[in-house]
Amino acid sequence: MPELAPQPVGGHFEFPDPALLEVEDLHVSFKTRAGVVRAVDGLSLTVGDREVLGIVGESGSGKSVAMYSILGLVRDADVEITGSVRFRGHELLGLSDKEMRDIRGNDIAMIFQDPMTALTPVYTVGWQIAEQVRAHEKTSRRAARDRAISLLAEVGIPDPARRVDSYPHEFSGGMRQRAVIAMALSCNPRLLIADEPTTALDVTTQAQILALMRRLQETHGSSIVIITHDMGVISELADRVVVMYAGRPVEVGLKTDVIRDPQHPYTWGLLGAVPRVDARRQRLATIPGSPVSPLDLPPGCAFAPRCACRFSACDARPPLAVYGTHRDACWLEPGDRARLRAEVAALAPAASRSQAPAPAEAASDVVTSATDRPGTPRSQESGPEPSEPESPASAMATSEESTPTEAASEELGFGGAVDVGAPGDEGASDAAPGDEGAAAPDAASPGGRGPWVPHPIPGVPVEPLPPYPGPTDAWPVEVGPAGAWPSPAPEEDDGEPRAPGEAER
Amino acid sequence: MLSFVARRVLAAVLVLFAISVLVFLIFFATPGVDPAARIAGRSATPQILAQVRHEFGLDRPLPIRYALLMEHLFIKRDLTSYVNIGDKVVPQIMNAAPVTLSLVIGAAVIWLVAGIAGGVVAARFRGRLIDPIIMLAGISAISVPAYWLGEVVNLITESRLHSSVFSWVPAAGYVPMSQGVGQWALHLLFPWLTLAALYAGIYARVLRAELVTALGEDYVRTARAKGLSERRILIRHALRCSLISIVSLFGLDFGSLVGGAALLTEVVFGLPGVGQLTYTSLQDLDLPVIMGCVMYAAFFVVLANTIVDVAYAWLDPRVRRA
Amino acid sequence: MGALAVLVLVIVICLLAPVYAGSVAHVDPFPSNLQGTTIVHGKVTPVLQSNHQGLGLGVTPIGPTWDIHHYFLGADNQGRDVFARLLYGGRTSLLIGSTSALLCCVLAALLGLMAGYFGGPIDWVLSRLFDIVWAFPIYLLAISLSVVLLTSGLQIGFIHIGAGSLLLPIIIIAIVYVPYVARPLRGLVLSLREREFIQAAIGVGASDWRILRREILPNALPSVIVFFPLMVALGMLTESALSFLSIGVQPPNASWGTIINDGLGLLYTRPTVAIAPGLMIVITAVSLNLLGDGVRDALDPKAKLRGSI
Repeated sequence: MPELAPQPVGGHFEFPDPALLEVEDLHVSFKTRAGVVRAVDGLSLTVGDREVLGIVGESGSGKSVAMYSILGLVRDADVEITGSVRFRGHELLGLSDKEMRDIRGNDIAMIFQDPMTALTPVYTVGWQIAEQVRAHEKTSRRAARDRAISLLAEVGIPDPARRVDSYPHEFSGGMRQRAVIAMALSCNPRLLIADEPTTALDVTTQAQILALMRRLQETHGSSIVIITHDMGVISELADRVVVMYAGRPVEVGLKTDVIRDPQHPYTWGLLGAVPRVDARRQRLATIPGSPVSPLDLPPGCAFAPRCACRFSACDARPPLAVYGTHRDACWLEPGDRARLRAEVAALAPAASRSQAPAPAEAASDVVTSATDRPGTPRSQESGPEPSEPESPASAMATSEESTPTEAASEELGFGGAVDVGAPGDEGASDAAPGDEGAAAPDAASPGGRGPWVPHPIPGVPVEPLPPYPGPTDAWPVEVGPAGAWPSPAPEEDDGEPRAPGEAER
Repeated sequence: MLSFVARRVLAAVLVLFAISVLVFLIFFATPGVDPAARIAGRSATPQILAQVRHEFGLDRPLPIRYALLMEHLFIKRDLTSYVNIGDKVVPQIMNAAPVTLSLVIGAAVIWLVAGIAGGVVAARFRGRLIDPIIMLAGISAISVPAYWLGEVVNLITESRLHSSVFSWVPAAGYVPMSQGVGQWALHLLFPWLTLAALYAGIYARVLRAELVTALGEDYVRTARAKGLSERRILIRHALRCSLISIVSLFGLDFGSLVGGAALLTEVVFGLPGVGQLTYTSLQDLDLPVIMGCVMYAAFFVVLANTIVDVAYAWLDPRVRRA
Repeated sequence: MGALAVLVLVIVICLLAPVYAGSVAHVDPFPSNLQGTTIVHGKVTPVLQSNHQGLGLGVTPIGPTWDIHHYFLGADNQGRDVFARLLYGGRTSLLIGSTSALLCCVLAALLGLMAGYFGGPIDWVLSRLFDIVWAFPIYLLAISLSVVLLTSGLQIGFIHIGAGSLLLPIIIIAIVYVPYVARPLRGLVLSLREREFIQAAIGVGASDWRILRREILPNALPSVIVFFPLMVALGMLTESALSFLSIGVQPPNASWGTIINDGLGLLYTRPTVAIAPGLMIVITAVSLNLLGDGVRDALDPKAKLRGSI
């Protein structure tokens, strides 16, 4: 957890002004022959002192490009970068290359994905570390070399005095990544950006590297931005999480909040794809459709084509919520997310088509009292819809924070409650522990669990929120498979007869 | 490293042996050709023919013939030309060697500087105007027949513009260094430029391609993230890794040129080097001299190959274990 | 691309040589034409004119008339129309260049693929062969072979190739450049052989020839295609060098190289004779090289980042 508790002060940001890194409305687009590629489409985030921010998303979600453009590493001539990036209050975009060079490696360091090719093959590791040191500080060759040796020792490379004169190809993958980390930390940067540092490594080495990074972060006192597509890495290392899709942030929050109580349908999909070791029979959920092409972004919500909860409001692009520590970019009713998530999870690919896409009605009774937004036709919900034979209400209430499975998963490093319910137990639906909170609506809790009200900030006037698109006759949401948009993943049917409503995972 | 060198040397010796066999076969064993008539030259009397046959053991089996030839060439070193009667072959070659060396070394310096500079500039400013200009110049340099270029240069410097711009250009020919370095260099100036043009074009293109590849590699990205200047990255990281292929290319080219592959340039500019010797002997079908020249050339090529292999291992640490 | 257009233009013009010689210029460019006359500026002039300078000895051919119908580029020392000879020579040069390139690529593909795929003793023998042939400086090997073969032709068993045949330069040039193409191909096949799809094919029980034909050849083909224009250019340049040395194309055939050779004696007086064929070689070779670059960029997307033209 960050040492500095997030304080919503001064407008949008959770950290004292100025935070270590503030990215505001970053847009990165490339002009290509095929059109304009919007790799990053309005990213805003902050990184505080001594905290680890995780940026998670699929390949092509723009997470790497965003970080590259912060450091000015995008060398394409046809790139256009707009927005504001402030590091300790100083604007980074628009600095000359010379000024950026003073920052790169010195204040902000970056490590990359593939350790096998990250180091120049013709120079020794010690030489390359010393090169970085001497590029930023006036030290003698001897002193720089000694610093290299001590850095190698610190990252856990055995016999560093001898290994400092080894060539990169003489190291194994994990050792090389350690050496790269040592090099990155050689000038004591305040911020380390790690672009998928463990993706190219095997699982045990991955765990070692993550533990090393955590330890170094605490020792050196730097912040880390870790980019990954793996929620497991996030739960292991990150304090806060930004979920990106199609170059846009779709969910931001504390790690525990995002993992236990994900608000955005895309995050549901990401979390659903994490396998559980203790699940008996498990089919990993896939998000139907394929990642959107940055050439061809839909005008509204980028995730809408693949979203099971899509409705008419999604034709307008949802803004990332302004207040709160757990925010998302989705038009869906905030208090209703848990229920919707359960329903999405309950969709069995082939079987559900024959079923009436019935929302879990009984749960709505529980949730109804939680809403206080005027005008929502919640009260109409229980009317026309048929209810499921098996009431999932009891199922919903069972899952607690401290189920044994949960404790097990904590141990395995899969933090939080990554809820993939054991099939056959709860039956119909996925259990969302957040729902227990729904029974006791907390209007004022900042965790985003309750109704979505502007968080009262002392001294700051409450600005009106962007207008909610309002009820349409499509409300309540018809949960069904993604329709005529990019076709969903071919439905799998392993031939087993399925009881109606049996959970797919 | 030592075993690596030893293995390469052994392989080189084997190749040299094979080349000598090949030369032998070409000149002595081509079907339908009488070797004696060839050795003795075009205007040979029956006496000389008989003498040649006996001396070279043409009535003996092939391997013996080969051994005799090698003996004459290397051990006794008294292989004599049959066209310029009495001229020994080996001294002829040895006299011609310094001329070729002068030509090749001077040209090598020029083409290395021009080629590497061209490649680095083109890679540094890739995408801007100077890049395709340099590359087009490189392609043109490659596409020009060397002898034709030499003749055109001669035409311009000796004839057309001789009285105006190029009056200081001396007539074709070679002046040894002992007669003054200035004159030596002046006489060699245009031959140097002509020979260097072709290779500079090749090197610039190859280096540019290698540099652009290197600049897209991950380690360059890491170097940028370290905060190094573009110039340092280009020269210390990208160039250093690209030079490996340039060095091996240079070794091969230099080796073959020293052996006499620059014969066209030498002929055009009237430089009495090994190349010209080869050329005249070919025109006269002076077989002993041809064989001597070919062996001389092959030796240098193989030597260059070996040196390049060893240098490659020294430059690229990844290769050393092989 | 522009290079392709230029190349096609050159090829078409040269192929039309007989048309030009027959219908446009009405000359026969091959036999000597010492007494011939032509029309310059409306006046009938002899093609070989007496020298008025110096000692008044000898004759000088007329220079370029820039008249497409009459000795466009002047005459050579035998009174022949240079431009017509240029076109005919172009046919020969292009023929030799392309045929030797084709022969070389086919041979190199065969040998390279076999060496790379079968490995073991076959690879060793072939690689040593490549080393030996390549160890000869190109021109030396070509010259040596030409010297030997051109005096009396080649006779292997029942195959007899006459000394004046164009096949000899073609074969010699092709052989000399085989290692240049075969070695990279062998390297490519070596790396392909380790790839999974080959292992899979072997596991399924495909025969060697089948694998070579269906799996390896299609993957090696783009590299061969990239080599082809470059080899045509190299072949043309080598051929012109050999012809310049009188050991390439033999009279009565003409090629750009022989025309340059013919023009050497006239270099200072009538430089056109020597310069024009050289320029043609340069233009053709440049467009071939550009074409080769373009082909390589088209076939290998990663290479596109490297090429600037």
